[in-house]
Amino acid sequence: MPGSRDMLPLALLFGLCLTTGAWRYPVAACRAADCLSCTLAGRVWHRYLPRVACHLPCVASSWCSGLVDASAGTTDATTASGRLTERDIAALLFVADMYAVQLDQLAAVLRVTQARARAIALGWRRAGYAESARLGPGLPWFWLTRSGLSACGLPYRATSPALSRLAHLRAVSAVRLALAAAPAYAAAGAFWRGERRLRARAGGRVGLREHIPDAEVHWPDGAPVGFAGECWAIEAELTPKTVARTAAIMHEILARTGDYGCPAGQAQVPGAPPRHARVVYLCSAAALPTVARARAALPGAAGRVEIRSLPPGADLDGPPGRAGGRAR
Amino acid sequence: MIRRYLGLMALLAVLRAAGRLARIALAAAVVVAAAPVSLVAAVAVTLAWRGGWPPRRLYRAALACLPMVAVWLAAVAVTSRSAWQAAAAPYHAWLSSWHQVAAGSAALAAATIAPVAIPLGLAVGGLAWSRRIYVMETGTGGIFPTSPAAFQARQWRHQVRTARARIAAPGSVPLVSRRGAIVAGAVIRTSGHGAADLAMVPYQRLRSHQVVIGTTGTGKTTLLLRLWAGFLTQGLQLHAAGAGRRPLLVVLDCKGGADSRRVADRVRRVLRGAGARFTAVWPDEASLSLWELPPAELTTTLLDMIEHGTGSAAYYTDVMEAIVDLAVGAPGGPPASAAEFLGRLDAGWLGLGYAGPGHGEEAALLRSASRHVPDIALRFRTLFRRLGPGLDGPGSYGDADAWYCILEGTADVAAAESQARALVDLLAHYAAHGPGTGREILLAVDEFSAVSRRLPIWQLYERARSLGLAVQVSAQSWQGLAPDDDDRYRLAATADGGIWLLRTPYPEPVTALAGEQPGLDTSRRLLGVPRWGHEGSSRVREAPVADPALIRRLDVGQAAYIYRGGVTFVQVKRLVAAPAALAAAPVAGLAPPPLAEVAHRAAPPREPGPAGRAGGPHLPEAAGVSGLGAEPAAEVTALLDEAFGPEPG
Repeated sequence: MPGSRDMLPLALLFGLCLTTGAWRYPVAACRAADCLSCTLAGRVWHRYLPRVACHLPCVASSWCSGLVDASAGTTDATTASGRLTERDIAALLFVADMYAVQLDQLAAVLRVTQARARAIALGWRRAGYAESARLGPGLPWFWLTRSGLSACGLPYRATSPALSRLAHLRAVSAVRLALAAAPAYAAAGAFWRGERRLRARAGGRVGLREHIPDAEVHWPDGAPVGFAGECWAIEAELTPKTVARTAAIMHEILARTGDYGCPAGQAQVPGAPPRHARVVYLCSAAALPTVARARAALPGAAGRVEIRSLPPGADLDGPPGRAGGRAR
Repeated sequence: MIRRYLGLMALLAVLRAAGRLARIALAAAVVVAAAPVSLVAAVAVTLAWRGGWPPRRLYRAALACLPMVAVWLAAVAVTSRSAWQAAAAPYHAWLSSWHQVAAGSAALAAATIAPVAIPLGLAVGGLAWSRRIYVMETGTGGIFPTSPAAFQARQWRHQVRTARARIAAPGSVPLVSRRGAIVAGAVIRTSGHGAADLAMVPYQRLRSHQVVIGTTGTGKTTLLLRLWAGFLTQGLQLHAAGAGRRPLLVVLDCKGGADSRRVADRVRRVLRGAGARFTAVWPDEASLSLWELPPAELTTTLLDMIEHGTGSAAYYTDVMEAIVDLAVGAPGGPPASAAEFLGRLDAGWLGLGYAGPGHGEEAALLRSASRHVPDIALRFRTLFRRLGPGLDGPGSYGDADAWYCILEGTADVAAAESQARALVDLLAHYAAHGPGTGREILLAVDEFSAVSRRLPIWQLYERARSLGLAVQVSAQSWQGLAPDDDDRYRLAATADGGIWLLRTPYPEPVTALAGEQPGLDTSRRLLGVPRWGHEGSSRVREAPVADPALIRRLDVGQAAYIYRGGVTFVQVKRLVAAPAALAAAPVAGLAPPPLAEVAHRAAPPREPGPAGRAGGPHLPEAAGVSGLGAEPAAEVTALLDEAFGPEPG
């Protein structure tokens, strides 16, 4: 074509602009639209992108869900191909939120046998997402590494579980599993907001004289339960405190009006609706009398304090393999 | 003879005029012949003038076009299969463009000549713009002698406008650059520093001492927030990569009051976005324990917190030191709280404590000084009452990524000085002996003038490097840096991380630290009002690198960064914090709180609750919360029973 050579410089200039823009803003381009590269494995166009950038859209749905349905997704293609399934992501988020879990609880989350759970966790270890160790007698513990937390997009500090907190961590995980096993929980689409997430949300509230519950359970508005829209505080009590201290904690939780991390002036605003509609205490046999007496010391709000026993398998030295399984 | 002379003179004038016309015609011919290049150059110079760009930017743009030229030449070589054709391609393109213009295809002509005209025009424009700047800086350009000054003032405005546009563009000014430098904002102008679009401070420079001076309302807090957030972000990134220690930011806000609380809230939200998980606000929401100091340091700190007299009053100082030493170093170990320490400041308690064998010397000392013990106890009781519970624990600097310490330097200078002294001693101990040896610490002292009288920060300044501790001092003026000139110069001269100057009425001592550079003074001959000729003389003089007059005129959000004999004027990019958490929406039908209740919120002295119960507002019943009556309670019970079994008896 006679005129094609004349158009060549313009075409080159245009092409240069296009290629320059695409290379300068790859992540923005990836996040801005439905990027096929993030969904079609094997055709990774932006293979140079950080892993988090490519995984964020995938994580988002699980991240927002309060349900622990780690068994969803493929069952065997977990990490053999180096990719994470939805089950892995849900389980990783569970582990991240609970600080650390023991093998039997991980198996309960994944809804697989302990041997299979161990193999899946080994895949996480190979990917650098998780770490495991026998921190005491019993089954091994699993927790996320910095890389794993980063891949999940969670702003938590990566640390191995403290030995002094193992019993408490196991108890809280057992409580969450037991609650999640209730049909009403799944039907309502409730959201578990663990202590780790609360602390992360609270940001610079360290050294405060305020108490952070072990978890919050949010019941979404419109859920098919009578308490839709409520927020519950969850407390797992293993060892008895003094009655005065327990009552003070109950009072603080029930009187709180602001979210954790809000300015101090909004934490307890007189006249504002309380943040927690009720507080649920899951107690060991040792702590039960103290908690009951503390509740009795709060006559005005005793109806908002629920006391139950810890579910079976919540004890650190309890029979393995029964955590999370409610005695039905 | 005269006629011939006049004729000769006329001939010479005509020849001169003809030569001048010939030169102009030749230049015009060149400009017209190279019209595409001339056009691009003219556009480039106009843009550079409007944007206040340095010529380097045009050169860089010309260089960036070279790949396009190379691709174009390669394409020509491939299609024509002739190197000669490729070499002659610019000429052919030029020729073709004229033909296309003649044929009425201006757009096609522009596309044809663009690969040649754009880089060449940019380079020519850069040269022309460089010459323009040079003649203006040397004072030899312009119609009037005041033209260079007007040009400089206009260029400053243009540069500021460009910098503001740059920081307003979303995503154009990141907090940390790819190379890990903290980006303070957009560069307005540099002198002695390399030209750049963004003002970047390497992380290691934040690990050195810095000084920030600026009056209220000039954007000092915005600048400091950016530096602090950058320090934490980059420090945490390095720590996560295993290339550095975990950062710790400690801010002493020595102003106090409600304004400091607002700043603290903003700092917390900004630092939260920067990666800090915990920002402790002292003493409102967190505390530190003075009593964790070793006994010797505790004694020194306690004594330093009390103001002593001089002359004959030195005797009482010695007595106080002896008694405090006895109370702290009692056989039972050092005190663990202020109350315990005050309890020990009792002649009877000390007498019993040192009654055992082996304490004869201390007992004798106590006997001679026992009559002063009540006075000393009174002074410390007063001190602790004024200090509040913030130093009585529990807590340590290691508990948070950042500490924002509010000292009431405006309302109670003496208490603020004592608090500052204690906090700095605690931090020095933490950095030198505690877990802080494994952290990279930045101590920022804002409004330093409030505590500069008794806080010998320059001592910490000089030995801080070995502790891994960097100090950043900010004040409203040069005079606010320290009580006397020696200390001020000591602070400023050892600020090897640089000095940030915002608008301040007396910048000369600081700008002098930036040094001087050669400049030209040019005079021009007056030909008659209002005509000046282009003849004159120039002389070299030493001009300050940082112009004090310019610093006096800085606008809000503009700062001059002085470092290593150069200065960079920066338009600071404001960090936008995450919005504050909002209180839950009021329940429908709930009446707004009465005024008395609002007043109660401002001053919340709560009445003690019933015995065995914590005080506080009345706790509503469950039904009152959910408004759903007994049905939800039954449903809750059913759910909990299903998940955990029935409530134990």
